[in-house]
Amino acid sequence: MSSGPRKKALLKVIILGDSGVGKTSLMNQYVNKRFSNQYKATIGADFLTKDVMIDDRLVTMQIWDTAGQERFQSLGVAFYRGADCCVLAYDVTNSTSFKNLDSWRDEFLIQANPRDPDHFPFVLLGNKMDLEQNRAVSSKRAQTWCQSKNNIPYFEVSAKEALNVESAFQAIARDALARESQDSQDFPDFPDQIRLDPNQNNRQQGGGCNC
Amino acid sequence: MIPILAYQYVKKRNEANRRKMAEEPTSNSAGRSVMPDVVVLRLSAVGAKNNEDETYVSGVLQVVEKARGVFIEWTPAEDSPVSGWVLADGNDENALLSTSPPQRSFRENVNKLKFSMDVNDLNSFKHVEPKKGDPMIRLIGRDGSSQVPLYFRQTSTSAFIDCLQKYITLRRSSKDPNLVLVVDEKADILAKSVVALDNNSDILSRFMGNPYATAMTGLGKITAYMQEQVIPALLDSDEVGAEDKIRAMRELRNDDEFGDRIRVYRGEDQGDFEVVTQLELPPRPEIYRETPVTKQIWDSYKNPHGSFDQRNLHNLKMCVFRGGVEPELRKEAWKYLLGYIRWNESLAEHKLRRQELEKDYYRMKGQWMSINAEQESRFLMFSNRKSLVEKDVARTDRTYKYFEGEGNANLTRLHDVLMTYCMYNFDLGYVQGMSDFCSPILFVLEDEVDAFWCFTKLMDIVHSNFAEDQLSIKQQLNQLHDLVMIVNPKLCNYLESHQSDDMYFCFRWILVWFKREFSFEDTSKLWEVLWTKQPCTNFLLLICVAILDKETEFIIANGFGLTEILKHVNELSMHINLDEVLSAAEAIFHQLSASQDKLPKYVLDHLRLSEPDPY
Repeated sequence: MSSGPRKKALLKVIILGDSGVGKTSLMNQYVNKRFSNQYKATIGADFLTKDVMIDDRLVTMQIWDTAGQERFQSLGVAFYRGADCCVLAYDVTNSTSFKNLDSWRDEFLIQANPRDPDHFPFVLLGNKMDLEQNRAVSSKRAQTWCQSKNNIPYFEVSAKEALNVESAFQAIARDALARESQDSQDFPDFPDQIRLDPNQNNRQQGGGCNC
Repeated sequence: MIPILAYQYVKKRNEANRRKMAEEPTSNSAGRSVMPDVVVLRLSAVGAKNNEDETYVSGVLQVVEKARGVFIEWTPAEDSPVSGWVLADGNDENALLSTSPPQRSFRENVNKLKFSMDVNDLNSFKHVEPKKGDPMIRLIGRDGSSQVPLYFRQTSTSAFIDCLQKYITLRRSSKDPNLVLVVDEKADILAKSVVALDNNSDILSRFMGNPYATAMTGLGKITAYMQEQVIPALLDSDEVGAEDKIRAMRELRNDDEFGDRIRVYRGEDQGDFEVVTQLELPPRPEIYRETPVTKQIWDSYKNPHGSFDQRNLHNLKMCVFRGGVEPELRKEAWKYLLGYIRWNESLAEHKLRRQELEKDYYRMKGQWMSINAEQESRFLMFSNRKSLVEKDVARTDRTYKYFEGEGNANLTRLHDVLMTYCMYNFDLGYVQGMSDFCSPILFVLEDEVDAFWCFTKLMDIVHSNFAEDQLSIKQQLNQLHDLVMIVNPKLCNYLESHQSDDMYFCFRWILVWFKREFSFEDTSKLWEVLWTKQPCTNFLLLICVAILDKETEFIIANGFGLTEILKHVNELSMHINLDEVLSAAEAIFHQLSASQDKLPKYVLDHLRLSEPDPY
């Protein structure tokens, strides 16, 4: 009987990776179906939301874009918390961005501190496939890395050409959703009822919320 | 109840439609449903404002019932308004590519403005009906995002609002008359249950009795639950009449016992409550900005040899502080304001010194230029820096004419200045955000050598923003928090109870001095104002305070949390009126300055009020 919003699952996805691998472009290509080579370097953090249907469920993807330079990571960690999936991105034409994946993954696990780090969903995106002639990291090398990290799903994409972006994020949403349903007790959607008993002492007047 | 009936009505009609249309093929984007879209409302004279270039784009506003829900959609007039909205599909892209470049970028800009929004994702909207001019509506999403402002040309907004009310319940905010909120049913029911409480129960009745006073004073920290649900319910509810509110506030003034009671909570070691002594600042004075300093005024401060008389310097700086300088004067004035030319230096003296500086610049430029690819292959640190500079130069202010197009010589200059800075300050190197500081300097100074040395002077002021440990940024965010606590404790309490008191959402403002929030022209004006170091060293923080102060009611009335506040603040970009903010920040400065004897020492230190004028 509610006219309020239908209950939508919120999936929080964080994109991490070196500066210039295309994190902002990937997010914008997926959410807005647009590519521009005029995106500025991201400062701080920002996110976009998109509603998607995943197997008959309407979910809201909240995709977080962060700055790629490492020193800026420490301040924005509040936004890592409660992430349902972490997307690691590298540039297939830049081997340094691939080598740094380990530290991005570790950094995320330290900051977000998920309960089950070994099974936390990561997805790897190798971006800039439109520049394949300049490729510096082979598919095989990337796949081997993914296998060594508990079989992280791997997608080769191009934000510029909208190649594989949609299907990659569909997979990301699915992985995140799988985790979200396991962990739904983490995110109660409404605070406890208010206690109205006049005899209760002040201690409980916060309504049970200990924020 | 009306919205529920309306919803059921829509649902029924949708079902009827579905049955009727079941046989018809459709290209609906949901793909899994055969239900066609129903346009419930179509207003063809609704323009959107493009804040990047301040232009208005005419368009069509529609409310459309789709299989997935009811959507509010705006499309530019040239576009086909009915189809192809959700995704600018491959065909669109091809169409764009076939047009000539200038048209394409115009088209891209216009297309960027269009939007489609589920009514269930609507949190509120700004609704401004000026006596003169077109009424404006700006939709705000539940995630804190703002859509483009829509201007209703020669038409009232009532048809649109009436239409929305078929699906959602709306209520004008009692705190911000230009804000209309979507009422969440759950919260509404809660509000009623709270209001129905017996008066003598507990703290809730205290909120009943003194809603404003309790919300705005005494409690330093209360739970998010209290702040999100209970207080707004009481403040906004019609059950607490205006008269009662006034009476309650009067009573509070004489209620000495109130403060004691607050302390009692803390005495119980709850941790949820904290005593905050609220300092009453004097009323905010009315401040007016002045016209920019002209070449004539500037020159009138000069001695015959071109140096400036130390005694008049303060006056000149105050003139710059109050109005900035005219754009034509910038090239000269910035050299002084940044300390590249010394105030007491004659032009002849500077000319001599510049020869040395020029040599020095090319010496350092030669250092990095002489590193060839082979050498670079064994010099990872250099190679990393170089690639970072290249990446950032390629995406710094490319929409501005000065840096537009491929192979632009100004881009090469920007690159060279930044690379040479890496040699000048090898310990710091290049950090993201530096290109934002460098580009306006290059644009104004034009000359590569002058730009480099002015950039080093600017970096002398802001280099700590880029330090590895980010300590300075954290410190500035903390100082900002302390200042907001003094100037606007209500907002400060709200931020604390919404996990936002680390002020991280102001990070970008502070890191690059609002470069991303204002146009090139406004950024230039803001920076020259700040370089005067008037009326206090940390005026940047007061600008942050002034902007947040203005957004207070909006943030609270929308009930924004951590993520929504960040989104909202990010989206203020290019929507801030600089002169208004500078006036407000100066007024806040006067408020604080007049209360110096009552302010905690650390607050005085934040503003360096305790220090004498540096000049």
